[in-house]
Amino acid sequence: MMNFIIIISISVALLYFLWVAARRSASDSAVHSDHPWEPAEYLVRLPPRALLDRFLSSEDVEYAATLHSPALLRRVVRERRRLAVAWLRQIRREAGRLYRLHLRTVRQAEGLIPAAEVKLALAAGSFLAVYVVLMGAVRLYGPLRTRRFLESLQTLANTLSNLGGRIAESIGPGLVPQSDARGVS
Amino acid sequence: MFTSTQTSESQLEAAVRDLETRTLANLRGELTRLVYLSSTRDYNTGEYQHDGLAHQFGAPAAQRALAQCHQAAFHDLLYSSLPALVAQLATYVESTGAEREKVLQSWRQLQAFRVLVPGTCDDLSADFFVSNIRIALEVLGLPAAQPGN
Repeated sequence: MMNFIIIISISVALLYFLWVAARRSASDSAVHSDHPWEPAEYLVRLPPRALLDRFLSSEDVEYAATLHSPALLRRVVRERRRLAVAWLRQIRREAGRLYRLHLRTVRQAEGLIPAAEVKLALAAGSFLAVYVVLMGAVRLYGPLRTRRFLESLQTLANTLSNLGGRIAESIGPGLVPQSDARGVS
Repeated sequence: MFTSTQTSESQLEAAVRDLETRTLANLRGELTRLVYLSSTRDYNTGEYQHDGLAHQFGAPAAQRALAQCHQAAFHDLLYSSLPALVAQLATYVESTGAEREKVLQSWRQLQAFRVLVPGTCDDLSADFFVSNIRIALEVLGLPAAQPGN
């Protein structure tokens, strides 16, 4: 009698879990059919790397320094720092959006490659680390604005841009329309 | 005269070439060209209008040619160095024939340079361009930048 009760209990529990699983997958598919992903979501909008190079141009700061107007020089440096911070925030936002989009996409993918996913997670982690360092360094731009310092920033920015590009490629290399790198599209 | 609403690539190329050689080549400096090109845009609709070009190549080709040249001129100025931009602005101010101080003051107050940005430009590039023009105006307003100094 005891065995019979245990078997019935296990069967009821299994049926309950099957029902919960079936309900979850039904609600998942309902969500996806209600909100199909827009093609625009797959449009990569990483800010052009060349733009950051212009923001951190040593030539412009050196030129402003030759004008013998401390107010103007301060303004140039302040403006360029503001724009560089805006560029960094934009690339972080876009890389984060792409990574989340990738996670949403692979949840339904059948041929998942774990090694590729680990690689991408590492790229995302490195991206965040470089971002934090670069953001800190850009905030120092002003008191510190030697040519060498600007070159180091540009090297870091290059690494960040490459990592952003790698994350962008993960959502569908070759299928992703890139926003115009010229700043106009 | 073209009546088709479709624009072929060859039509577009011919319209761009015509615009460059017959009109833009006669304007001194990239900033002057940018001012001219943005002035062909209707500020209500964002559409470019050029009767001569539209008559010769059709309205769609003229529209695309003007947009393409506008974007190219903007791009060149966006990525030019600050001293180069200051030189461009000085050339433009000179080309207006108006009193230098008056032009600079008017640009500072009315911020007419904002309409020079193409409609397809991203926010960050537009912000950078406006910031650079403001700095260039300030540079030209410095006593050392006055003609004769």
